[in-house]
Amino acid sequence: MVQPAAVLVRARGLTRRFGNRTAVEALSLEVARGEVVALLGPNGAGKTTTMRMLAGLLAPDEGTVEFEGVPAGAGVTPAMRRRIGLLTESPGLWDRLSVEANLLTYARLYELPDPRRRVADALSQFGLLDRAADQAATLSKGMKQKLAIARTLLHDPALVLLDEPTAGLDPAMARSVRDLVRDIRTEGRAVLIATHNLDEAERVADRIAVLQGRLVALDTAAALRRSLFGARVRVVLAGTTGDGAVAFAEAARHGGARQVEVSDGVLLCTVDNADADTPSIVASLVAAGARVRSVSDERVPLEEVYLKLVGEDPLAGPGGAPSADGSRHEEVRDDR
Amino acid sequence: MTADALVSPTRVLALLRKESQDLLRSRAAVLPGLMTLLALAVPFVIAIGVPIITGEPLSSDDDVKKGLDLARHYWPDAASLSGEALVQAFFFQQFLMMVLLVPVTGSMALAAHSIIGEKQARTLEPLLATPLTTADLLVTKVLAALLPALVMEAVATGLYFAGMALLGERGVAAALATPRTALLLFVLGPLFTFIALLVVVIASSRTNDARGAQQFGTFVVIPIVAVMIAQGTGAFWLTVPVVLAAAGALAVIAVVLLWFGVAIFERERILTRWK
Repeated sequence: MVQPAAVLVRARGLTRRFGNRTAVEALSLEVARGEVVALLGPNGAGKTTTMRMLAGLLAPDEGTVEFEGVPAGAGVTPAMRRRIGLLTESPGLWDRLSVEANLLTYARLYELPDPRRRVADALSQFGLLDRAADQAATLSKGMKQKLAIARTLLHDPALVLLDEPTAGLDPAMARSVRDLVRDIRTEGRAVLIATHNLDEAERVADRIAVLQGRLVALDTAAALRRSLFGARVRVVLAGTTGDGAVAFAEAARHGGARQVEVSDGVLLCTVDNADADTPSIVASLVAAGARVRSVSDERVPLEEVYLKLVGEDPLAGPGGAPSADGSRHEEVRDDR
Repeated sequence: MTADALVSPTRVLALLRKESQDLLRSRAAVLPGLMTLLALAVPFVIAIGVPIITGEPLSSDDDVKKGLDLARHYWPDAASLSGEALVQAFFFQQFLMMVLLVPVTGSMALAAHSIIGEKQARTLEPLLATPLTTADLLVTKVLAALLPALVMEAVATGLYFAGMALLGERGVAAALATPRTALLLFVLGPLFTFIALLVVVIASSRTNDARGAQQFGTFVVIPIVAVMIAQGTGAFWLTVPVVLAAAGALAVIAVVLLWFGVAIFERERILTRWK
């Protein structure tokens, strides 16, 4: 559980409907200072709606938002918006204006002291100084995104909401954005990042929230793996191929594995506690005559965790969608 | 966290600077200026060109005579003028309304695109995520269209009077330089322009079709055209008290309209429904 004093934004039971469609249902979420939470979910899962509610652009139909301990009432107030930075899905730049003028307008809208100085600092920080006088329209997609991020952080927001910050960026640019997110966290700000990029989520986020209309899971990536797949140990046997390894599966079970999958000289053992069970499994295998070449923790890809949470086949229609009581999804409690 | 004013001069000015930079880089901005210049030529063609081409003075026309009688009655400054000078003064007086009208119609395109343009360029969402209030946004969008209109109006007025002084009969320009004219140009004109543009900006916030928004503005132009026609036919004359009363009424309408515009501005609908 996040320490109460550290919580920057707290959403309780947020629900938002558009006509008959419920985009977000009973969402409760906390983001602490110095924490990055990744918001994952399929298209239409309510990620952008959640971002917009937290940014004060949409008022929730039900539920409350508390920002820095202050209830936002029916929605986030303009005064609160001064402390929030939102990177929208599209960069949203004024194409005919220069890079500098784009930032300067926002610096003035936020009524920052010495806006020119602040903009010069941002241009320098984001490597945009040499493009300052160029029209935003002339920038590459990556540079536009950089400028949009610079705009998002211009007023030093305490809560940073990033909607698909690396979508369409080349790997180098995406990496620099991830580095930036880590820097933001180091500065003690709270970051909520909506993304489809699971690798990115795992790299930058302290906790992962899986959304599918309602909150399906919220925890660290490791805890989500543990909850859904248990701890897994991968044992590679030397000189054992094909069905030869099957003979040692029983030895692994005897050593403490709850479940063993065998494939071509490899035993994939599901255990309750990797630290306690691994030595006894290895000892049991060695006693049974196996030649153990390597032992490592098996890390289930986050993709598998995610697909298990949201329903494995996105093309299968509403099978993955939450039912009225949300019972078809495994709820993973935040146990931090 | 501090409370935010309904309208902040700092925020309005910030966005206004952006609007002016954007406008200066837009080629379409030249069009209203050209329209104004073309429209200004019309009274000169009628009051000075037609009598030269036809060889007949306009003062011989019965309808014009009727208008002149009215002008003599309400407009003592022009009463001392005689013959063609009075006709010219009468015509230039009638077309003075056009100096108000043309820049407004030119600026309507700007106003019509104001909210719709931001939405289409996807710049509205980050903008609405700032402390900018709805009143800030509406006021700025109206001012962004109004200020170029007023500049055009001032330039047009200068050219109009210079044209009268250079091409018209002696005393015509001086007869028009009255407090009534000043009230029309500098009080009634800007107020009317503000209201017309506010209507278009409000319409721009309610529809995603710029042409549709612009059509709302055309409705606002109808009364001014009606006044032009009424004055031309001698049915009505805008006296100083009438102009002052109209200015007072327009000021009230402007405030009520702004309140109404803020009340019906739906941030959420714009963000979630418009494509």
